[in-house]
Amino acid sequence: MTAARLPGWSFFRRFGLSRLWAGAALAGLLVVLLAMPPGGWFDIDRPTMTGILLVAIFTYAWHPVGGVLGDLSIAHLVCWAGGGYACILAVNGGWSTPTSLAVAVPVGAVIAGVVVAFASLARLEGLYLMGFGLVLVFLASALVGQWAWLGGEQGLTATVLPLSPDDVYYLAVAFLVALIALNIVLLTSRRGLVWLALRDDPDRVSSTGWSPRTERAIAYTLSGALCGLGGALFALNVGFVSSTSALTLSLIIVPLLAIYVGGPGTIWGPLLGVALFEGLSTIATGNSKSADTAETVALAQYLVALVIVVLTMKSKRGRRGTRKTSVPERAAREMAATAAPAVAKIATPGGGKPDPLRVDGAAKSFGGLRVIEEVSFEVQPGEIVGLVGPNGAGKSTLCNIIGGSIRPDSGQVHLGRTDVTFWAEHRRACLGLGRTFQVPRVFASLSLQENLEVSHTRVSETAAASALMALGVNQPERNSDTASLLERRMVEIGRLTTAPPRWALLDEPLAGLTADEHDVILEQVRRLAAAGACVLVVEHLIPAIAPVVDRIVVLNDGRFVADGPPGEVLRDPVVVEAYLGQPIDLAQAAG
Amino acid sequence: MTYALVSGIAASGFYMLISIGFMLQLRVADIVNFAHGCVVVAGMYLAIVFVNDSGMPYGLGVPLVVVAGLIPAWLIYEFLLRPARNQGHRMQIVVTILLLSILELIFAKAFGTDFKSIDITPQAWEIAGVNLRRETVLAFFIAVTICTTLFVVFRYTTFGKSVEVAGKYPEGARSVGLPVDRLYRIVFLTGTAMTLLAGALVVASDPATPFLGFEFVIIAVLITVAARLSFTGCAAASLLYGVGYAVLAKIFDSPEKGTIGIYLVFIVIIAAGPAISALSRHIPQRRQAAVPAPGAS
Repeated sequence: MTAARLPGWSFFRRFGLSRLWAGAALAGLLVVLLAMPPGGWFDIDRPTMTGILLVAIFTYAWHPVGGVLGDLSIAHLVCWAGGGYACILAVNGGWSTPTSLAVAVPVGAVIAGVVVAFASLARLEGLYLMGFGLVLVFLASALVGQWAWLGGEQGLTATVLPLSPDDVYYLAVAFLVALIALNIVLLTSRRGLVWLALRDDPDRVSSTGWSPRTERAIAYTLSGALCGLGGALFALNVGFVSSTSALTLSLIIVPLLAIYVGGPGTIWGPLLGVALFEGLSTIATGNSKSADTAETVALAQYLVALVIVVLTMKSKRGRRGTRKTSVPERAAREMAATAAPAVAKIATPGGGKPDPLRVDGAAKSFGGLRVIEEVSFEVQPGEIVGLVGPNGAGKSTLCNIIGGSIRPDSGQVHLGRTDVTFWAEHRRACLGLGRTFQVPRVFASLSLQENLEVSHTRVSETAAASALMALGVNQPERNSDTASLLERRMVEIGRLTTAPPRWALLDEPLAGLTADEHDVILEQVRRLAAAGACVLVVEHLIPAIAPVVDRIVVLNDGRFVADGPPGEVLRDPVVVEAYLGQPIDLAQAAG
Repeated sequence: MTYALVSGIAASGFYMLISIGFMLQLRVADIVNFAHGCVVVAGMYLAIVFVNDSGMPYGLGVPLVVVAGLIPAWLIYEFLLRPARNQGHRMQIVVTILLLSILELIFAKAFGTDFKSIDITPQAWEIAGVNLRRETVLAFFIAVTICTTLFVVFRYTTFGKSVEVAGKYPEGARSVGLPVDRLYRIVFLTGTAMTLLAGALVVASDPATPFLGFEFVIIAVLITVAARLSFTGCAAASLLYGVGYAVLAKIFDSPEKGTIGIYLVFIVIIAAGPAISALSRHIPQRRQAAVPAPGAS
């Protein structure tokens, strides 16, 4: 994890910076800001600069949620205003300045925590979450206007100004630098990858062993706490806070545009965006002092921003920055070549033999349609079981019941000795269940190797890169939206081989691939089983999997109709009538 | 109270036009258009130009506003919004907020930042014992007529069904030969026309300023989200917004408390929507569980 994300410009992309370089750039920024003379530069004096820094602070404080997670949570304005009000109340109550600032942190965190808990309970996302945030801001604004203890519509004024404008400036510089440093650490950490992945496919994140709900709660609470502190600084800057100053929607528009024009989920993108939207206009209007010029400059900057956004849209690689892997390609190739076998022996608690995967009497209906009826079977460690059946037989539903994305109406699922029937998907993944999907679900915001690193088991950059190259995927540092179908399938397989699961579930892994490509995938399936995993392969292409599997179970209309060695099952008259049409000659299939 | 009820109902006609316009663009063309509010402002300014500057009668100016406003709207759709369709809602929100900011500044440069009113002689009509401006009452009836007509067209005609299919299953619609892109364009322009009309009607009672666009679009978003993209839901939520605010303000004898009350109602509606949907998915299963499966002993 040594890289920083940069705005989506190919020039920078090729020269991805390490965490060290990002730190050096940040130190440079700190020096420049501290060196600003009281009179300022380009007609920007320190109080004006403080205003720009406060916008940058809001932008970076909101970025973990608004940019990385991609939730356009307007409700963070309430955290910002809450921090401001809490700070002024504390100052007026005679509390010291550090304490008054500190009290804003839990206020912001609690507001954000309540918002995310409510959104989670009510299952609000996307535009609905945004709509909820909008109403919350309006409601907060109206309530604050009614409450005399918060100053009503007039707002709350500090009885004393505890900080001079210079003090606020230095505090704002320190806070902004700390926020950018936090973003560097976040975006170069595994947690940062998970949050980026959540933006693409929250359900898929569950199957990598992370809880989307918990991660979202952490992101909101962190961002809310930072917004609270930012709001406190904002209030101390002018010694005043009101609903019209701290709860106005225009406050969040610049951060929103700055993040999405600069590059969401990047380290420097928000700063570039703030420079474009706030810095340039301040310089231009400061130089002219004319309202007409201010409008013209604002118009020009919005047009430039629109051009940037349109160009980004036109670019096929709309990716918000990537990194250059720290693993030299040749070194990774060498490692891949010597990595035999590709799949490590499965580790089990206590070092014993892994336990079987067991389904007991699982049943599932959707409305009036019974999809699965009283299905029971086992997959032993080291065994490969093929699950076949016609369309609509219930194969994928059964797969999802085992995976945890669907709960059965009755029956149990056991992973080893643990009954996981009511476990969430991510808990099953943590226990050792790995799976692939019918349509490969690759996180578009991450590079190919980052897709492997995002697993809850600690997969290093080196291991991820070499695993992908061993699977024939070149340039694993590429954006995943450039990958072919085979490469996307290999990323899914790579997730299993780098962190070998005790129970592996593969849903139609051969779909859409050529016969040669089937062999590549099936070889990895064999290796998983050889490492001791219980492997269940759902597939339509019976001749392709028959030579590889130990048993075939046939599902028809939600019921098992056969279970046994491939040679027997594929000649079974019931199976032939229900599904195959004619017996399959295994010797021919293998040939 | 009667005044609050009647004036609330009259105001809801405006909300219906802007929210149904916004909803159609989102539901069918899958475009979240935050510049929608600026279309209302454009309608207001165009009406002022036609009536005040060109001396046109208001009744003739209103349809001309729609015709004149659709030309730039079509260009913006073709060159900016259509390419943004496949970029997801987040990017659409960014693009259209930028567009809204640009349009606001263009309006400010063209018309100044002061309030501008339309030059028409105010006339009052008495409805249920309440005196209302003639244009406000007409605006309500025009809005209801247009929304009802569109509802019938979208619900019961082949064209409406084609639009519904194109919105829900674009690939399938293309495969059966439906001109999906043309349908999206038609729906987008229909939504825009409704919104231009709303602007031309509301300017008869409210003055225009360049920076009203954001306020209008926020109302449209709230109503659309609360209605969960339903045509009749938008009409009902518009009525609730207009009447609810007026009645609550009257009950509490305070416009601010009316605002708090109506936002609380909308928070409950927005939050309850997904929970109700989730519940309704479970109910049929439970009912089904009581029914023996075919062939079960």
